[in-house]
Amino acid sequence: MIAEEWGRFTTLAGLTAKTTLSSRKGAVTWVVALLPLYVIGGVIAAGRQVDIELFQILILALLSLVLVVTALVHGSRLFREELEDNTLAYLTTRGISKASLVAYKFLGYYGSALLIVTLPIVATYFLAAASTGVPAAENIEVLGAFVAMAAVGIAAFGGLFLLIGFALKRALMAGLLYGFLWETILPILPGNVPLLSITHYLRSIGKNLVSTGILSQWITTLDLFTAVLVPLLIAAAAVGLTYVLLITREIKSKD
Amino acid sequence: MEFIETVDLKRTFGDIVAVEDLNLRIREGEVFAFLGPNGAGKTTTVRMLTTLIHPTSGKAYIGGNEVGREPDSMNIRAMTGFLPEAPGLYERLSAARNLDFYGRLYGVPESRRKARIEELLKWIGLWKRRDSPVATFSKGMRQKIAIVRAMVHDPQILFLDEPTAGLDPSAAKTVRDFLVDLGSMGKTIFLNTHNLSEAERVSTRIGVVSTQLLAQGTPKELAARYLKPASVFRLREATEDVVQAVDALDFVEEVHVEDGELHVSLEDPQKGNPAIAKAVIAAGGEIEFIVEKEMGLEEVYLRLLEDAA
Ligand SMILES: Nc1ncnc2c1ncn2[C@@H]1O[C@H](COP(=O)(O)OP(=O)(O)OP(=O)(O)O)[C@@H](O)[C@H]1O
Ligand SMILES: [Mg+2]
Repeated sequence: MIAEEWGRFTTLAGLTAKTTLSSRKGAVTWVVALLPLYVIGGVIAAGRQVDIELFQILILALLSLVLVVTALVHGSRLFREELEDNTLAYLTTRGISKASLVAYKFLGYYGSALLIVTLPIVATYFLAAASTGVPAAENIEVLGAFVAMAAVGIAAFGGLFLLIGFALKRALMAGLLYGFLWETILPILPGNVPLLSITHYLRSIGKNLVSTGILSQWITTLDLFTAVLVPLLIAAAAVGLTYVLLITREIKSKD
Repeated sequence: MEFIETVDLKRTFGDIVAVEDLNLRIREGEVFAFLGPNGAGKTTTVRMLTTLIHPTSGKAYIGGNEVGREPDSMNIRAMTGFLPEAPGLYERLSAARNLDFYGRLYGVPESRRKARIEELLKWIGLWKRRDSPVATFSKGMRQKIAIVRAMVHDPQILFLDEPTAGLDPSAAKTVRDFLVDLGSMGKTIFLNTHNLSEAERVSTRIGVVSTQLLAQGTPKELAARYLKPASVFRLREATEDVVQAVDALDFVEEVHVEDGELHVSLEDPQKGNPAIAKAVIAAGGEIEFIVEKEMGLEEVYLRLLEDAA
């Protein structure tokens, strides 16, 4: 029983991960996710050192874009493509429960999307360290902070885009508006407004983990635990809501 | 309880009643043809039985499991295979990968899965194309892949929604022959079709549906129940006089001329035929042949639909 469920997990998560990493749309997100590598590689190639301050500035400048694009492209397609290709109806009547279906797809997305986002950041971190001659271990908390922000961001954005992708035909459009308007403007508004954006929680994670440089300058009252927990709860709620939609909404044969 | 059973099953879409008062009882090992015209509710019924859509009211059971109860759904899925109206294959995946994916989801062990997929693909003549993406397949090839996809986990019950739609005659025959084989192996098959001869050829029992179930039984039973016996008189010339003379006989229920032949419906042909013959001759008719009318499913079917309309 458990072995069979494990088999379903590896099958579905595996196929999802494979699609995420290697499909044509996957190639687009690789191009975006590799931006840190071009930029920092380019700066170093031009003969400049990239110290930890500059590394922080450059990665932070690109991180939102990378997270939103990767999560949007791969999160929203988890069900949207199945709906459009007419494959979901059959899948939902077959040897897997609907709860597992949503969960395993999401986990397959999560692992692979996180890989896409973090690999270039890790690579550029070591590249930057090498360019200055400072031992890589010295500023490792900065790398840790970015990886943590990515890990939480890929979950939270991915959950939201999963939901949007299931519920809306024009998921990409809606996701772009949300990702690049809402998540850009709300974090810099005064008062409690930033609390409505995932970006604010991600920046708060960075602030709590790093004591120098631009990451440490974010204004927040959130502690690390809250800053991690809230986005993860958002992800869980979005995944749960997708499941509810899947069991309540009838999939038309010609949907 | 029967293997597949529905109790007052009903489904509406807004104001449209797709299916109602559906009470089916299908025994294990039966090949049941669910026969009806376009829009009769065949697909809707199968979509309810395969847990794709919820009934508006009524209940359905498969192998003792209640359709729509979440803990029972997994049992139902494990014991059923399903060919939907639209195949819904993964276009980018190869034929073999499509089958393998679903085999895995069913937890079919790798060694058995491999052998099974090879066996199924060889059977439909697509083994050589196993590594081609489904996107490169013709409509009929897709249909064949979708049919065997329903069988990777070797289910006891197959729900097939128009399996021969879109197939060329020889492929359609392959599929029909296979359905007969499956039936003789003890598989229970629920076959949606609007093709009369297909229903007659492969099924052990037929249900005629048009929103409601109009009749069910073996093809013979249906003919016996719904068709009055009739005699066919082939005459040198079927004149109006002859028709009137036969119609005047009080035991004759109905007379009409079809292709120059006189078709006479009556309760007991053996008893009535001599008297009809006399009347024909008296009216100046010349009899060449007298035969019993062949009663096919087609007449039953058309008649049931006419009565329902
Ligand atoms: N999702 C839906 N929304 C609205 N009406 C529907 C839906 N599905 C089916 N119907 C209606 O229900 C009725 C039965 O349709 P169904 O598809 O079950 O017929 P069918 O017997 O399978 O016909 P066919 O032989 O053409 O496949 C039709 O009137 C159809 O328009
Ligand atoms: Mg149909």
